[in-house]
Amino acid sequence: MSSSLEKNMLILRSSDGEEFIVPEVVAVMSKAIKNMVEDECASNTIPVPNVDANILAMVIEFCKKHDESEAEAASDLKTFDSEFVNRGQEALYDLITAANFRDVKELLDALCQNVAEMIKGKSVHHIRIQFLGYQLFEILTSNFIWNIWCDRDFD
Amino acid sequence: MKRNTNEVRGSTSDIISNLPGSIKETILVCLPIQDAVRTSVLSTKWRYIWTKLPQLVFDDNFCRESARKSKTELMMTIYQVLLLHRGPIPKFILNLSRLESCPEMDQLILFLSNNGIQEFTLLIEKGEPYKLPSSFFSCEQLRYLSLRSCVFKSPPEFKGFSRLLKLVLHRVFVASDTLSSLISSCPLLEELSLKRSFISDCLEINAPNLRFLVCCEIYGSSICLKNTARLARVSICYFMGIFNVEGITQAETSKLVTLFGSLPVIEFLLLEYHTIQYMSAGGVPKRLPTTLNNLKTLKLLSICFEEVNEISVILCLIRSSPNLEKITIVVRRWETADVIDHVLQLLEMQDWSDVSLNQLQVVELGNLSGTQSELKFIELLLAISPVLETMFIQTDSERVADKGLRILTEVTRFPRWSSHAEIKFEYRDKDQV
Repeated sequence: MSSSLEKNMLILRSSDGEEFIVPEVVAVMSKAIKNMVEDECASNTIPVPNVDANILAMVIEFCKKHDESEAEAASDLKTFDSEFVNRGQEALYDLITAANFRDVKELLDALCQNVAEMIKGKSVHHIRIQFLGYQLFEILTSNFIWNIWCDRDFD
Repeated sequence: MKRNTNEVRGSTSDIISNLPGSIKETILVCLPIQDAVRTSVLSTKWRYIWTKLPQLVFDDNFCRESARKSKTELMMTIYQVLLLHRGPIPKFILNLSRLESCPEMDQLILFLSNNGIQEFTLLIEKGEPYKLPSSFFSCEQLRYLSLRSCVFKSPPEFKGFSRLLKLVLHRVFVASDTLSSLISSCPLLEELSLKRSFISDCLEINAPNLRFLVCCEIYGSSICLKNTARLARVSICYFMGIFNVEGITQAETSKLVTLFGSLPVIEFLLLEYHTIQYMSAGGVPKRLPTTLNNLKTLKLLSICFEEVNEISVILCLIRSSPNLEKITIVVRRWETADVIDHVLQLLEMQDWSDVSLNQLQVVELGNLSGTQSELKFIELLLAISPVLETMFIQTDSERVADKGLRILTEVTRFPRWSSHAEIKFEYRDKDQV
């Protein structure tokens, strides 16, 4: 039987088998896990497939901070968010996938905002180099919108 | 899975294009329209994502050239975006400082009314107030509505917006009875904000679900609260008129008592001296008959500590609100010094032994000049607040000599009930302001 301390804790197991002991209030910031807990289909250990230990640790760090700082100033949290999501593209992609799959809204919003900042004000040329690799054959020069706004980028 | 994502990236290192469509949409929502539209030429995977955007925001940042465009050019660009957009537009914001009100907006609103608009913001800066077209009144899905500089004249068959939750009207020309019936025909309304408006007759606020009310710079005869039992946050600033509660017109009844009788669950209250002076009409009791148990934050602006009426209302509110957590008072200038004695008498005569603010943590006092009555009030608050953490005092540099040293010396002498109450003192120099 679980003791009173363990009662409020959950164990999350990453795709590569590492286990994390997390307070329930933090874990249920993921709607997917919340549903599992509410439907009582969560046993002692909740598997988190598709998310490796490295990324899972980051997600837990984010959720813990958001859980603790509910009373804190919103601006502090914003600073934390913008620093947290400021990562390399690979980590960013994995984090977005994890946040989307596990349904962690706050994290997903912060990540999407970050990607948006990377695109904002940049020329198409620049975005291509940054994200897509440079694939000239995909340029759709006949696109209507291209003529309105995008051609200026190459001036 | 890790391996899979690496394979997808492969030679192109294309990271964002492989994200699910819903995430691409979330990313695009964070971008100005110009940048969002621009993504359509990134790759075929991006081409049509923006056209299904659930929100279109035309503000001064929507494209980089917007500040240089003429009215016609701006309207043309908006039309182009709308022509290419597909699917419903639940959220639409039009807030362009260079766009004057014009008849073409009628077509825009007609288009939106046919595309499931739910959150509509129309803020007009220039030109004549814009007369809302009849198609506007058929936007039955509206949940959020914010208007600036519009003429709101509803057709006789208008039945209200049955799903409306939030209504913000800024410089909107509307007849009092039209507005009264609009409010009462929006049964779900939770937030109401009226700014810089003129009300010719009595405005009746009949809103059983209303939680937030803001009235700012309202010129008019009176506002009448009716059926507002859920109101939690009330801010009333520069209201030049009469605040009324249904059924009470006689001057002998205390306005203060009747007003707060209709606000049983109030949590946040912001008042300014016009309203406070009005409330003092009909006499101010020592304590309200109904205790304001939920009131946590009290903000009072442009207060004069030499005005007996104002101070007696403030003292009455403080006595009646045992669970206050934060009090903010900003003082206004006052030249004559003849009437100080009355306030001082009021503060000294009242018995405060039965009052304690057991939740009060923060007090902010702005623009003080260190008069006798101000200091007496500070002494009083320090004496009745057992858990006070911070008292922030900021002085009016033009009226305070010796950098506020006298005030600071006096205040630090006062006994404090709370052993960990900290006094933070700020003297702002004239030159620094």
